[in-house]
Order: sequence, then C-alpha cells, then structure tokens
Amino acid sequence: MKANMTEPENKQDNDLREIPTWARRYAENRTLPMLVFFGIFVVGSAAFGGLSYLTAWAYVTGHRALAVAAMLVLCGFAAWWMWFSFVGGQRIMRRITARLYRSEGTVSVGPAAEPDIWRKSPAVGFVFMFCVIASVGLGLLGVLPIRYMQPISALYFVPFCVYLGITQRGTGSPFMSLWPTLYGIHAILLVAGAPIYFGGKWEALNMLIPVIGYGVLAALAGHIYSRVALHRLRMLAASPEIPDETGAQEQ
Amino acid sequence: MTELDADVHQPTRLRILMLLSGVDSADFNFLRTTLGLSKGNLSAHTSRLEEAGYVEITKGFNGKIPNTSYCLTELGRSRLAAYWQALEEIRSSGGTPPS
Repeated sequence: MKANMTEPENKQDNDLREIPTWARRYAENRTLPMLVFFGIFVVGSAAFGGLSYLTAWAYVTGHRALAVAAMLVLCGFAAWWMWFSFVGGQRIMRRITARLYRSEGTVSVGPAAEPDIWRKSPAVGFVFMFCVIASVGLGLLGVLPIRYMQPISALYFVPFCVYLGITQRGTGSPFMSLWPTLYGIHAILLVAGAPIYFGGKWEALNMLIPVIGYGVLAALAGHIYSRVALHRLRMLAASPEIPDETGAQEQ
Repeated sequence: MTELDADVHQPTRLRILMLLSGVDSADFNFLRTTLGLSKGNLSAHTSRLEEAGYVEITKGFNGKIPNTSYCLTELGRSRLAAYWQALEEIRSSGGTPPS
C-alpha cells in the first residue's frame, strides 16, 4: 500500500486503474457472432448435404425433372455459399454483431475496418482454400482415407489459424486459440491411434467435431468470459450521476 | 504544489477516460450502459472532454441507425497519465487531492 493513502482511496484507485484492462478483455471476447457463424455453417452444410442427397436420389429413382430442379437449386445454393464465404459474409456478420450487441453498445479494440484475409494476404487465403478443396476432393475420390483427413487438414488449418492470430494480434479473443490447439491435439491423438475415430454412419463426425465442435467450444468460452468481464467492468466503472458543473442539463 | 487537471479529476469524466484508454473506440450506448449514466449526463461530460481535446467524437451510421463513437486522443492519453502521476505526487507529499 502506498504511503499516505487510506484504505478506501487505495481501493478506489485500484478499481479505476483496472477499468482499461476489463474494458479490453470484454471487447476482445465478444465472440457471440462466431457462434452465429458456426450456426450458419452447420445449417448451410446440412442444406448442401440434403440437396445433394435429394439430387442423387431423384436421379437414381428416375425422377428426372426433380433431379434437374434439385441440381439447379444446388448450384444456386453453392453460388450463394461461395458469395457468403468470400464476399458478403463479412458484411452480414457485421450487421448480426450490431444487432446482437445492440443493448450493450459497440466497442472495438482493433482498427474499425479490419481488412479481411482476401485483401490483406490473398496468397495465404488462396493457399488455404486450395488445401481445403484439394483435401476434400481427394477424400471424395477415395485417394485420401477418411481416417487421415483430419490429421492432414491440421497441417494447414493450424498454421493458418496461427497466422490469423499473429496478424490480428490483440483484436480477437484469446480463447479462440483453443480452436487450433484442440484441433492439433485431436490430429496427434488420431495418428497415435487413440480411440477417437468414428466409423460407419458417424464418419462425418470425424471432421464435424474438430471443425465445428472445437470452434463452438472456443467461442463459447470467449462469450462466457465476456459476460464475466462486462459484469466486472460495470462494477468498477459504475459512475455516480454527477452533473457536469458547466450546468449542462439532461436531454 | 502539483495541480490536478479538473477536466480529468471529475469522477464521471475520469471513468470515461479510463474506459476509453482500454479500447480503440466505444459508442455512446456502450459508455452509457457501462457507466450507468443518463443520456444527458453522458452527453454533457463527453462534450466537455471533446472541447478539452481529450476525446474525439465520430458521428456515423451503424447500418441505418445513427451512431456516435468516441476515442481517446493522444492528448487525452497523455493528460490521463499525467493525472495519475500528479495524484501520486500529492499523496506522497502528504497532501489530500481536492474532492
């Protein structure tokens, strides 16, 4: 305790000095939009899978008109999905973020218009997309065994996340680093022969759990921490209603 | 005798400045709900901080909704640091800061 300071003075000073730390912690960990993004991703993937199944079923059972219609819808959906992933998604996510946090207001810890990966490092974005398409394609062709899809994807997914973490340092939730960490650990365990492989009709879970499950877990941890940070921040910053001594009246 | 900056020393304004020092920018709604202030009170204090050059106010739109955001200027940041230093000097010399 500093000399000549009373206990209440010391506490008040410490509380005030903690405000910037908790404000930053809260702002960094507003990960609710990530949860929405994962939700959109799951619904989109399910719709894609459903339409693909419908197209194949209609073709095999001889419902040609239905097969053509389903194929057209599938192509339209695929085009929208590409647009959402690379162009319009960011704008939509910004609107969703503003709506989700309307009651709490807007706060940022990074530049107002953070450029996305396609403008900032297009080469990295293209290499990542190439790796995704190549590994999925090889998996569908049967060249790449499903068992090794997740460990192989970890070879580019983890470095990509680390790259994003470094380039956006200080603007994102530290909890989101849980995602590539768990993804990497999952890959190592799978290669080491740990009994975490899903067979038969549950095979899709081998990718869904690491991609969606760990991502949701990381975003959820960030969101919960943001609630704690906001609670703490409001306690520290709660201000007595002292009018400005210039005489300004309430509007 | 070390003087305290009156624009910073006022409790509500000190909280506004401390809050803004931890982030890049924050909007009116965030400051109001976090500090638990009425619209008029917050508006009066932020106007005074803007007049002093400690806070920069940007008016824009969040979608179609008007939005006012605030960020701490370099001057505001340095005055805030100077305020804490002055406060420590007063206390270490055995004095009491004005309430």
